[in-house]
Amino acid sequence: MKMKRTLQYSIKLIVVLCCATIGFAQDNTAANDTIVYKQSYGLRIGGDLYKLVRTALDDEYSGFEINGDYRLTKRWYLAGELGTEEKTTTTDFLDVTTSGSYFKAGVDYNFYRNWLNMENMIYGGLRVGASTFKQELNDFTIYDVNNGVFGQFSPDRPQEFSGLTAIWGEVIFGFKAELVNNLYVGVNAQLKMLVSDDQPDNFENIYIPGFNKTYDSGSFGFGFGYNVSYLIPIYKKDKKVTLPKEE
Amino acid sequence: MNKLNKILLLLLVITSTNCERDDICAEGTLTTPQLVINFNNVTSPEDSKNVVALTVTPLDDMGNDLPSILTSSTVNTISVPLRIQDETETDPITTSYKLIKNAGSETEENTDIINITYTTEFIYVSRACGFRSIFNLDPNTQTAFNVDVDGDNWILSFNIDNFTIDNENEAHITIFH
Repeated sequence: MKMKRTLQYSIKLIVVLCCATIGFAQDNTAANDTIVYKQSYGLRIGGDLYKLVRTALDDEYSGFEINGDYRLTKRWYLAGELGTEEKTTTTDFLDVTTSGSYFKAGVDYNFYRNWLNMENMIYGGLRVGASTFKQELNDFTIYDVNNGVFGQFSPDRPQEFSGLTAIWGEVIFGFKAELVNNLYVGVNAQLKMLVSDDQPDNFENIYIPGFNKTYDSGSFGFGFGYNVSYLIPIYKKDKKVTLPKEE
Repeated sequence: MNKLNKILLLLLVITSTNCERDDICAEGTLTTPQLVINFNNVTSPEDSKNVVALTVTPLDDMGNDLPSILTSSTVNTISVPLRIQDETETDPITTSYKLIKNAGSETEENTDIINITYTTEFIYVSRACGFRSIFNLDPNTQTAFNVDVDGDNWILSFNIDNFTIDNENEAHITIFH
């Protein structure tokens, strides 16, 4: 609930910011039919704020992600993420800690036709993700519906399943808004599909770093992020804007 | 802004539908089985025969009575849970039950003690159910299943039908009386 509210709040904030920027931009109109704006091209580097906040608040999670994109053309960006995660999953019968690192690479496409000199993004993207990780089975309780007679049994014998890898594909949707000069905030949601993963012997991958929780029902996964990033401008390119003629 | 709103809505829907429906172990899932014992007629071994007023009492590892799991019921089959030990233990474990026939009758009550000796094996089921245990009866038939001799046994003989206790679909032991 708290997360949802934060998300709603941030979206409102960003929408307000977008509108504010549009307001300023409109003052910029000149008498000419065509105006040339300089657009920054460069490397945008950032981090996932959500993972940091969750690390601070959730005892069973710690994670860190840096992400970046490089603008190729007016609409296309090369994009990637690099991170580590450690997550403990506890159910009535299992206590598992998954830890490892992941790498995702792909492209983003900006659908948003920016007003004038704005450089915001509403984008969709594709990623290929890969993770190497291990799972530690800290403890488990044998599932026995008749345990009323002799009691429950937990072996209290940690096991480690290491050297595991997973590969998945990902569709990502999100936006990035320029908060102040070259500083961006964004939200994105990811829909993932597992392509292959090493299943440990007599166990399964409960969680995969970068992919998040796995589901019994299929190979899909979900994720989202709140990003803060900074654009390091490398060069500028002209953007020509043709204004409608005033009668 | 209309397009932006639509995409924001989509994002909200995607991020808030992370439900957790894999977390309850479904009924009917094959989990830790019980030992199934059938009671057959000693004179015609193919035919089942009811045991009159049977009380089934588990014994703890010191041989003391635990609460009965069946009391004075007339049945031709019973399912009894087995004690679990870690699968890494190489020494087999024994679970014992008191089978009391004609329970409650002052003159006819007859108690026999059965001992089942086995090792365990843990099998992963799912994230919701965790692991289940199956049981492998001791390959030594003398110890896998036996009945304490007390000079007045109502259990006259038995047969081990299945050395692997993996499910409850079929009897593992048949007792003749």
